[in-house]
Amino acid sequence: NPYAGLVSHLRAAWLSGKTRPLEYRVAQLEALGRFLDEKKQDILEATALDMGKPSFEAYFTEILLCKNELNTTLNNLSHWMKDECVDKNLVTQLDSAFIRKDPYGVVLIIAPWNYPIHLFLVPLIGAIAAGNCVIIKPSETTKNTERLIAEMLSCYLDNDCFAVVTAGVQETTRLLENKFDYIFYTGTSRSPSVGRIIMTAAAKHLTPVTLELGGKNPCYVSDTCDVQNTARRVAWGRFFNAGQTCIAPDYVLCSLEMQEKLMPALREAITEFFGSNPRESPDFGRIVGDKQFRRIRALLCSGRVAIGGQTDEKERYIAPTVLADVLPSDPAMQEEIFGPVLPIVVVANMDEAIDFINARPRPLAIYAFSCDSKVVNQVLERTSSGGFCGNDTLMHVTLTSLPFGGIGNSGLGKYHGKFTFDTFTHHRGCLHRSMGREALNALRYPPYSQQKLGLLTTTFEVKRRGMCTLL
Amino acid sequence: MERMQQVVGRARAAFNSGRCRSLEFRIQQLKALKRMVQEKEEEIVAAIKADLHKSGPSAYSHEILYVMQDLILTIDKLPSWAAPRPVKRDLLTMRDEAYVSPEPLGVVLIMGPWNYPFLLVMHPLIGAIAAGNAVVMKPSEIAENTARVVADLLPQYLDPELYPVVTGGVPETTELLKQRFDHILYTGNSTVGKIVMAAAAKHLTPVTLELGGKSPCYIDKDCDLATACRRITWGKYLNCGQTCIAPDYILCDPSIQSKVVENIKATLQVSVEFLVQWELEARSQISSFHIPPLNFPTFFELTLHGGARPSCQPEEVNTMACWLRVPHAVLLSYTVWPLLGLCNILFVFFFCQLIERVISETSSGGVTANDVVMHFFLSTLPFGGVGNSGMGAYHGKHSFDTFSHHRACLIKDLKMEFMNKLRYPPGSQKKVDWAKFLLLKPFNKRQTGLVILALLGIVAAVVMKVSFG
Repeated sequence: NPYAGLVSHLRAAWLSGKTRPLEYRVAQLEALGRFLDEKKQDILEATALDMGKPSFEAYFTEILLCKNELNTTLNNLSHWMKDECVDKNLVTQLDSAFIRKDPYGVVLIIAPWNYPIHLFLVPLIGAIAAGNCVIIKPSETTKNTERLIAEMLSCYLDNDCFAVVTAGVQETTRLLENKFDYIFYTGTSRSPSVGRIIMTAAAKHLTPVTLELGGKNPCYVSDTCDVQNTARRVAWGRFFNAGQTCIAPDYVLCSLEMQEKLMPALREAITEFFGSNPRESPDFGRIVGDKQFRRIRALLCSGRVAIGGQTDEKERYIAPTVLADVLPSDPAMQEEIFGPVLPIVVVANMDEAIDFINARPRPLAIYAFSCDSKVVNQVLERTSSGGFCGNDTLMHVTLTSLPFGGIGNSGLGKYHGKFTFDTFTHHRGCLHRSMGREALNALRYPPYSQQKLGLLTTTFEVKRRGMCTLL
Repeated sequence: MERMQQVVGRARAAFNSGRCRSLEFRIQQLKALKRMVQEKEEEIVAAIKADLHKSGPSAYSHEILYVMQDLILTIDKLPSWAAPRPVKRDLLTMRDEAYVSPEPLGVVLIMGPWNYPFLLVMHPLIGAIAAGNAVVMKPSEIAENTARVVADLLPQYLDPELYPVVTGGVPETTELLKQRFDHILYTGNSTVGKIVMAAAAKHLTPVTLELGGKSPCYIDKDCDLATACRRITWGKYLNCGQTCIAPDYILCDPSIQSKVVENIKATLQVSVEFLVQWELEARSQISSFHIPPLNFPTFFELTLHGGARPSCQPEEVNTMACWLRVPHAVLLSYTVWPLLGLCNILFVFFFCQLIERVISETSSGGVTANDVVMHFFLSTLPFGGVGNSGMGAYHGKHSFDTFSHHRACLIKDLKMEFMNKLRYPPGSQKKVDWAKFLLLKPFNKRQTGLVILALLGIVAAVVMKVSFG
């Protein structure tokens, strides 16, 4: 296996215990901070070349949000690493009981192309913070960013413990034949088969996984809402990164009246953001590759094009597009769009919207817009999704104290902030007893008797609060 | 085999009906389970005895006591565990509601082993019900009496559509694993663990695997050997050695080996007749499939005397009593790394003063120092393996969390739109600078700093409204 040597090299480094001390982890994390600061321009340029990523967006997601995660981790790492003391029962009252935070060992992070720095760096921060050695496999689709990561990261991180592997599909398959102690994969749900392939490969070695996949994220807009603000927030979420965001609102569910009101509001928002010709706006991105471009273009024959619809294959440009009167059977409703196209599906009311959502695989995010908080809560309570944001889009993932992850087809596991540290940590239950007080243990030793059992029951039992616990 | 599809389909329809979501319903089901354990204690104990030849007090203290304890704890704490958990907000989300909402996963599959056939299906069931899921239970067919009792009793007390019990062997289990579940908890060995995870991968189903391992037990030469050996002997021979967290082998300095053997003999002698009889009868229950090949070196052998039955051969008695030869179905094959390197083992036990060093320089599911097995009984400690010994954890609140989806919720205001202007295109350097200011937290922020930041945030919002509004 071409990667066996690399994996065992990293495993040897981990066994040496190098990554365990707090000082080491902090030093590596600070080096990552310097990478973001010093290579900021290179990152902005590489992402612009790869997919026309607007520099504001690139700065916000690839630099700013990453620094946020880094600072949260650095601020709290020593606290997170500490043994967590737990409540004890009567039998263990005089003992020391705690949860020790152990690293897993050698972990693999596989990143996608849509936020090529963010989606390997944020998991990497947690993996390093938890004391692991890491192999990073950036996406081969975004060639410039891949090269940047492969060439420059090694100048900042300890090469004994952290390595970057550039690989296409075949090589990644070989990479996955090795035993890892944790695998973290981010990919889209348009190929849920890849998530399954990863988990099946992990099963051969009993390797735990986190899979960040995707789905069709519904966006319900009720009849009572501030139409202009809603349109602006939905348009922002949909057209950010030219729609190539796993948590973007994928389609809108609303009544016929609301569709009529939303249309001019959406048009106005798009003009506000990108001007009258979005193609000339430096703030609107492009599709990452020809294959993806053609796939999204084929979805445009759903419903009717109410806004946008222009495309240019050479530039891989698809205009910010809104499709009206889309039917559930239309092409745009069969797969995650992952492009700047927003279908609107008309439903009669909120109940119908909820049934529509529940009849489909559970998505990564659900959005609901309403001035009536009861409506927002109803949608929240009667549906299931990775995460939920009321009256806005995308913003729930910028808060590092909220867990980010999917459910069902949209993924398993979660991260961001402390959740990333916990993902890459084995929580080891530890009980430290005394060698003395042996008389107390006599209750549990054979020969057994009814009398011993009675006493044992009393010491072990958890009583309902408010009940007498006297012997 | 459509039976499996129907059972799971019915459970899913019952889950989708929403009736197991309310706290009242979950608590009512847990209370019914508690009544079942109390009212049918004799039947359950009799079944365990028939399967594993356990005495009444053994069966009760090993299995039923802990189930009751967990039921009482869960019923008591469920309202607080299931409540939304507010999270810290940043400047941008200061006026919003942000919390994590624990929600049910859906239809959960629990596959139990034969060594503690009642405890190890009931215990996960409690957490799964508490988290609001529908649960398909598959007790081990090897402990057939307990499986039958569970299959008979559960429908009498619990909602039979939401919590069906499926019995059967390998063909039925294979068919069951083809269905889609929202979580699978499997307790057993790592060979089957891999099969379960591969089946789960087809549906992207998260798994908790409670497997086994060779749990080492280190005895330092400067410790109280009598006490150490007494505790080890108890833990080892509990349930005739058929415990996933039993101390599997001892590591000690050669100078104390003979003393260790003496001490263990002395402890065993206290009830040697009882033990030998117990072991011989229990052994006859276990099929030959489960007796592992002996391909590891034995550290020492222990000869029992007295109490042997006339029908058994002398070698059998010696074999039974040999420290490393107690039949243990969980031990089929493991990777055992040197102890002071890193081991993928379920639990480490040790009796020594160098506790911190052993904990820091090894890896295992869990640890007990100066005793064995006892960490299992503290429900606030997560119980689970790492590497070959498993993944995921449960017990107490950890069960509830394992069987829940922790959904991130952010509820914003539809007003205050000027705050959002910062993030909308067209981009500008001014916006970038504001974003940096609002998002990046200063290093070593403290409480007073937060108040100042909050005030600055309000000022910033007002200024932005003026300049961009």
